[in-house]
Amino acid sequence: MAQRRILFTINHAPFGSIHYTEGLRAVVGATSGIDEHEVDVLYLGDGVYFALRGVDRSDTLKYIDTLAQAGRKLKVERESLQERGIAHQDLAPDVEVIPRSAVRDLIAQADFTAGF
Amino acid sequence: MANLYLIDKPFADSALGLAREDPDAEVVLLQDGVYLSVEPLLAARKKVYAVERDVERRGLSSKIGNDVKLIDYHQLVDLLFANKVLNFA
Amino acid sequence: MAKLGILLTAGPFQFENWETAVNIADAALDKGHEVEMFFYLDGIYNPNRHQTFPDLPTLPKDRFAKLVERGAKPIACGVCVRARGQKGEDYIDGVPVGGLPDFAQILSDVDQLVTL
Repeated sequence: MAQRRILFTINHAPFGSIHYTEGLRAVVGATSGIDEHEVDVLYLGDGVYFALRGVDRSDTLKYIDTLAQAGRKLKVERESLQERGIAHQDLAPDVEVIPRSAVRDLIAQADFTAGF
Repeated sequence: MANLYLIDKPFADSALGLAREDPDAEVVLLQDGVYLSVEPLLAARKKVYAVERDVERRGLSSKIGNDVKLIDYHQLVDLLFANKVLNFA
Repeated sequence: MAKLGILLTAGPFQFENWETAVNIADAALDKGHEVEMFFYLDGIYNPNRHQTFPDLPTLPKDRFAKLVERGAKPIACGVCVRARGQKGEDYIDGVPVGGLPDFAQILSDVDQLVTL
């Protein structure tokens, strides 16, 4: 019995598979137990396409709102954006771009990771 | 304690760059992950393991170099508990 | 002795993940560890008791049943089960249908988490 910190990575681009939204459902679910685990959400690889400003959030909004109310921002790896030619102005205003060195800090803080 | 990256091929894009630049990284290739080129990881002086069953059933035993350590599931379990697991499978 | 958590999101037959999950779980049990599993997304099809497939020497459900016999504690995501038109009675003995709070509890219980 213990509170854990879990780093959820979302690696799949949105819509081609269900991971972008069911991953977020699992993130919120992880916070639902009696130990109220801490969670971080990190977009890596093709997962970063979810951070684009125009992405339809109709099925993810409730999870994003819940995380925002808990003070949790969606984090996006800068190197994955650069490899895909995605510029800062292409991104939704509520995501936080972090460099790979900061990803290593998230890993260091995490007890567990889960990949979606 | 290392950061133990479990990597399957569909997640390679997310995982390999991160693992290569992580000074604490060790890598376990599993499932289609055993098809990945290990040169960039070895060049970055990372310890690389591969799940022996996944290598053997794909006919890759003679192709995989001596610098990749083949492990069975019992060895994998020991590695899981001895390290921090980074899930990319 | 330690506890291993396994989150299985891939379904049987189409992907190899279930075999990896079972092989890791078996090896952990061999070594005297405990195993808790959460079936999520198509992962919920793995312990379906109605599976038939003459081309496979051992069906996924039978290998999961063996894990249950050996003391592994699996649980399936109820939202995922209902979304796929499945019911509690479709599962092998020892696989209850729960929810994400059960996943949160697994995160509290285990010493390490593997997602497949």
